[in-house]
Amino acid sequence: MRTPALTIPLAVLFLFGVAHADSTKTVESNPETASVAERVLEVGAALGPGLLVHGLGHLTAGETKTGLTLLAMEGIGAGIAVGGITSLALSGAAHEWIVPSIGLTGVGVGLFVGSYLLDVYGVLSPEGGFGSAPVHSPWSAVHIGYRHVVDPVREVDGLLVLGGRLIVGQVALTPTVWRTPEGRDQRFEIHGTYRLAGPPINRWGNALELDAALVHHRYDPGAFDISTGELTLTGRWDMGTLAPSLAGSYTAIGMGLSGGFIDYDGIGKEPTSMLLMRFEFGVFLGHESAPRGRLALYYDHRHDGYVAGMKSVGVGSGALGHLGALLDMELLGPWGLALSVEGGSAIVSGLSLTWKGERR
Amino acid sequence: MNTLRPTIWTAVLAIAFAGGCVDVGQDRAAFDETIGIASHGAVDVRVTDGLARIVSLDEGSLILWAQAPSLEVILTTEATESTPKTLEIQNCVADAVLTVIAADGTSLRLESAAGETPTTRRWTLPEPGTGPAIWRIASPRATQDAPFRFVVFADVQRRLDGIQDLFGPMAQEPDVHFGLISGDLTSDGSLVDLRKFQQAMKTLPFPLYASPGNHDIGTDEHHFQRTFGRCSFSFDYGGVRVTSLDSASATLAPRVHRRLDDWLTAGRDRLHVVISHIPPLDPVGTRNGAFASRLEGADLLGRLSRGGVDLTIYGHVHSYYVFENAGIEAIITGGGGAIPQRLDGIGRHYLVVEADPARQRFVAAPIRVYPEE
Repeated sequence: MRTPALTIPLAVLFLFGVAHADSTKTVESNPETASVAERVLEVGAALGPGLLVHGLGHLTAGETKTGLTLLAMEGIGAGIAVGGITSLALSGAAHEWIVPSIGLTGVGVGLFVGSYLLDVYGVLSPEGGFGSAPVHSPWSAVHIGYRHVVDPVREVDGLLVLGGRLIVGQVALTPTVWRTPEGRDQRFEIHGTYRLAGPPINRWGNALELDAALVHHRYDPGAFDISTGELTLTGRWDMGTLAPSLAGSYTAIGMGLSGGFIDYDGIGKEPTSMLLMRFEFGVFLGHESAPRGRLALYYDHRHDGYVAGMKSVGVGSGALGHLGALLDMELLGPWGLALSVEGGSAIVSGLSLTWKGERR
Repeated sequence: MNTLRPTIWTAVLAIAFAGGCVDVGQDRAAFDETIGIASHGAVDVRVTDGLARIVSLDEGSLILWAQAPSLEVILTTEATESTPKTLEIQNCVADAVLTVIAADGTSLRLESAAGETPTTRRWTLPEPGTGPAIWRIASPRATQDAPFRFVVFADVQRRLDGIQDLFGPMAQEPDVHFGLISGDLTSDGSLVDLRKFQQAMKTLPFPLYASPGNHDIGTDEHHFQRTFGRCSFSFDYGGVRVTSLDSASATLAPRVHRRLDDWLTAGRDRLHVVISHIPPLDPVGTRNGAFASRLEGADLLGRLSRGGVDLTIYGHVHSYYVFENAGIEAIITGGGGAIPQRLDGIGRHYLVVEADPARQRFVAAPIRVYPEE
């Protein structure tokens, strides 16, 4: 089954592009306004041959430094990915080497894909980006919504989701609960995030964060619980600090480990573990006033939860995690909507009503 | 900006469709249900539970490729002149006997003749009457509860040309009644390689029942089925139920999940071994050489455990592990010749399993094979 998973959020990005169609582009070598023909050439170069030579869009636009930086990112990413895959092959996926091997492969692929997305973003976006990051994060936020689940294997069609975020000192607490309407399938997560480097946790900027989480999933039809503890290190970069053309975008890479147990009713507990890895590319939408928000595209290596890993026909079966997109918009005062689509073993999509508290 | 719209929308749709498939494997499961059914003229042939692939059917003969030691074939005809005169079963147990049960209830027992390979058996069929007839093909040992042995291996992949390194010692194992390969017979699932593997199988003195691995379905999902038969199947032999599940796409198709309920019921009061290429859960969770969904994996294991399964055997991971999943003894035996896991001290190997229905136990031991590389 194929689903147009990201159509709606990307359409919103497109509409923001239309709204900024009159904006001019700052070009390193030529500050004059680019003509429509030149823009078409830049975007065409980024989307077409730029698939092979990342940064080609910027190079075509005369932004040589940024173009070469993105090309270097591609090369480094490809090199790291090849190194990771070679390590996997040479070790025969030995458990002693599995975390660094998959980690390297993931980081390499993340840099490789990220450099392409950044090139496309840089030539598509108007000056200053489609939007900018809010200076402060809200001290508190709540969301409630519904997720539609398309899973041909498991007995779950829909989920109610309730979650929030609360900053306490230098720690952000993020609890979320998912539950089927009849309560036979439910999942609870609570994350505590501490910022190791960067501005205070309530401010946007380049940052390194440590995230500790507890996860509990109860699945009545299968008569088991999965309970895990997690630790993840995440780096987040404001790409506007790399080049003006990338202003309004960010990337994030997170790596971690999860460990715990599966408790089968009447059978007993068995250990479980998981490699955590997430790559995110995000774009801010809107500048000063509502509507404003962000669009995030991500790969998450998780194989648990409702989305889990991707299924495929062929050699890669079971190895990959899932893809997702989140469009989180503030529409009226503190109120907004968040639209999400994730594709793995199941397609999980839905809408949440959001409330975001005071920013200071 | 308008000129950019087609390009942007192309990109949007390309990314959107990358959401992927969630019902992979369902086509194979549906195709499974067409295996073992054929018609020729006024003759209809149906192999019960699809446990054999119909290689050919004409006025002269019916040729089957068996995926189980005991078969039941239902033949329906309205015109006796078009019924096959001979039956040939490839990949057959050596001491198989054919019992023909006519429409009027009379039965006839026929010994087989040897074919070109050790596992090919032939019968000359009596002149049939009209109406349905049932042919039962089984070894006399199929209904006994005496201990017997079978071999299991997986992940030959790139060492297909060196398969006789494995088959040589395997053929010397005493009292082996049949073998099971739980996937990755080949590197890419090409028809040429699948047939090469099938040819090599014919050198063994016992039949080998195959289920696919992720490497066997990459070229064309149905090459495997057109060569060997069903991807998921289950049979009884000597007080033991053997169930082989198609997990080649890191999941079980919903149709297979539904069939599994019947197989678990059938194996409830006997020793039950379940074979699958990809383990539902990898004992090394950070690697995830396992189902794409942990929830599906744990759910399946809980069902197997509550269904009274005694042993699970997997491939996919190129090493040898013994562990427990949902309280069931589990073995990974992926030493058929693919790039081996290093530092595990096992290398190429296959598994010999002794089934003792009277004592309700399996005893399994790995047999290392040289040369390793």
